[in-house]
Amino acid sequence: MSVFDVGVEEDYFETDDSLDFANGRVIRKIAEKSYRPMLHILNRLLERENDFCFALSITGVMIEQLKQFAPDVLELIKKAVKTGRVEIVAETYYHSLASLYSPTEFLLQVSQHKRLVEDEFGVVPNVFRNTELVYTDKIAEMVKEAGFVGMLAEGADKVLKGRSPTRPYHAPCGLPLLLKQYKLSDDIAFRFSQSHRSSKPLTAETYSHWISSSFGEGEVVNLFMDFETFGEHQWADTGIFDFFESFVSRFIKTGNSFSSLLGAITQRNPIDVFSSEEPVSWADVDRDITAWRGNSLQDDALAKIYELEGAVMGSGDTALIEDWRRLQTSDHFYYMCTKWSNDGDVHAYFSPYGSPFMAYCNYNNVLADLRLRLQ
Amino acid sequence: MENTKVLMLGWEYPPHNSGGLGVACQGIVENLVDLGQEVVLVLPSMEKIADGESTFLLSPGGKSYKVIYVQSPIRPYVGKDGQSYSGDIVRDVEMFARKVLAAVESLDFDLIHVHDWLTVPAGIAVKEKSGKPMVMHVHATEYDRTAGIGANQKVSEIETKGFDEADLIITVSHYTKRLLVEKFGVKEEKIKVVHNGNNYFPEKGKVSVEFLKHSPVVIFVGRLTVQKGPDYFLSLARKVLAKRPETIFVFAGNGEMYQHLMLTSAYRRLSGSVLFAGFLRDIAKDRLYQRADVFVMPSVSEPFGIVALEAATAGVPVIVSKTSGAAEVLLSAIKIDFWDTDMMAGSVLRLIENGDYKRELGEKIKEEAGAVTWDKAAMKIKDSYQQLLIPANG
Repeated sequence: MSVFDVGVEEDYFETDDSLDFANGRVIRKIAEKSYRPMLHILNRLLERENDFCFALSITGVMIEQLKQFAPDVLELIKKAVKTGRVEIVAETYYHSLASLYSPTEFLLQVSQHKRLVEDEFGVVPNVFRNTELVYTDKIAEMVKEAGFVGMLAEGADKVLKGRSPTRPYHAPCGLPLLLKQYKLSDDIAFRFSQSHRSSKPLTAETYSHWISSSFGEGEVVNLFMDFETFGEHQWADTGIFDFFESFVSRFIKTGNSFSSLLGAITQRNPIDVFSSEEPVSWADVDRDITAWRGNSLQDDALAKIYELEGAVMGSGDTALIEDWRRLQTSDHFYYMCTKWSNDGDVHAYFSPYGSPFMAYCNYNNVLADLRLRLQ
Repeated sequence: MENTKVLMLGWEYPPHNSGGLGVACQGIVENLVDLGQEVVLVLPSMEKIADGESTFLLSPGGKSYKVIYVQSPIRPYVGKDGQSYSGDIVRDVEMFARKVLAAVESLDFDLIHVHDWLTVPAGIAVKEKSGKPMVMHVHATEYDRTAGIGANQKVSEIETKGFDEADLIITVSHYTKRLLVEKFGVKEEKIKVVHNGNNYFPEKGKVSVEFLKHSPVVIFVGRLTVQKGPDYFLSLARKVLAKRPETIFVFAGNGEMYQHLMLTSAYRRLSGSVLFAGFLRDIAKDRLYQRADVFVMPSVSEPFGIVALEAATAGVPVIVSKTSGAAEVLLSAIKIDFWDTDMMAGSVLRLIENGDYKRELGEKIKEEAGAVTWDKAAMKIKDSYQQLLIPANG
């Protein structure tokens, strides 16, 4: 949106579908490279292995986009859920950081998401995972209040301080937590292609062995990763699909088992406390929220959008409220990140902007327009 | 001898300009040509051309003039370490001088007219070879460009050499003339003041101003560089927004301070109120001028400031720095010290809150801007040529 569009009737989110970064184009491309092939494999595994189960995190805005651009993918997910061995986790409808800014809005978005999941998949999510796995003790309190039985979080070293993420933990408020085992998760999510190119590519056998030898009695290895890891971040030619399929079979064959989130939570008694007042996430090397709130551009953009809550909700204008919510999606602020590190590439990957400043410039104009609508 | 043959050495020209120099050069050339002067313009070109390639352009009055190109990467607005582009600007300027000398070898002209330091070595080389007098047109000095701090030594040397070798110096304002006399010791009699003219003639109703509705719009047009005082504009914005949060401030320009300004604006919690439009030209710039309610030019040191004139032509009340040339030709411009953001804020608020006052001031300034024309400037230049050449003609 340019300065000349501010205060004029303009859709914030519609783009010419011929543009590379138009939502439709992106979804179709990723559906082709990742969602379809991986869902076929997952469904096959569910059929073949009675003990295989997994959980899926899928936001409201994602469900909408799939409906619009790749409805067959949604059907593949429904097929998987019908087996009864695929959990859908609860989260914010808009993949937002509302948990850090507005408890009210956070809970509204979580309810909205819950309703959509019930409508679409016929299941009720009872385990929660926050946007980008952002965790604070306060957020855990809100999640517990909302009636969820447990929450996912990043097994960050700075909080664990040497303890293993495979043990059962709970937040200070008592909410059971499942912590991501980042080393094993990232072996796939980040390092798979590297290993593929190396002299000793990771095999299903090796990986299976690593996992089975990394936890003891009453412990669980939590592997959490972006779905796009399979086929998009790690391309098909790395053999990632075959690897995953072999790994699951291998893992079960060697006497191990997969657990549902609910099972992992209810079957264990957490004594250890996992506590952090500062936000912890699964992002970057830092495992914090500097990817979304590391510079003043992001900081102010986030502050401003949430400052408008009162006026927006008070307007009663559903289109305006919807726009405001979609402007909370964490991606907008992610694109404004100016951190320079290994993570730099990951940030730029999906960004439709040439630079973080262009991302801010655009969001800035949209903010101005939103404020005008509220006048 | 009414018709002078002028060899004009420029370094930027629309549509390839990034600032006011190109616009001024065009105004000067076109109007001199329409006054019957024979002008041959030599320009550097970044394209792959053969040195000496030429073309003919038409003035608004339908007269043609020759433009000769030599290949050269020289560009304006170099950083104080000369590193704004990859290359040694001083070396490139010397190379440009050699190429120009070769390109104009067979030409017949009465005098050489150079613009700013970039063309000085070329002008001096041609003057030495041809024996013709040199006019140096000063649009900006290194002092202005760097706001008095961190001037590039080599550039200053070339500039000073130009002041010495020139037979006549034309400055675009009394402000710049004073600067040359006081800071560079140039003799007053050697300097003639010719204010720039105006190339912008907005037509109401021709472009859409239906944007940023229901908000007072305050604009900054110019390069985002220290010289232009954009951080004072940001300070001004914060002060005005504290009283009138519905105001919108727009930066129209690009420059090395772009990122810093964005980060600072966000840091000061001004997102959604301070907008960045980038470098605008033609229709886009026209739309912004016609939509604007107030124009502010807080330049630290501005030899002229054509943009102030443009805003005035569009009937936008103008607040300008006292250390600017535009302040000399726009009587109804509100003149302030560039650092006095409190006074700037006061003026902006008064204009926003008092529609009659704004309208009145806008009309006055539009009239005044109408009297600042290029043909007046060209006339003055033509006369100075005459004075310069008379002794030679006995």
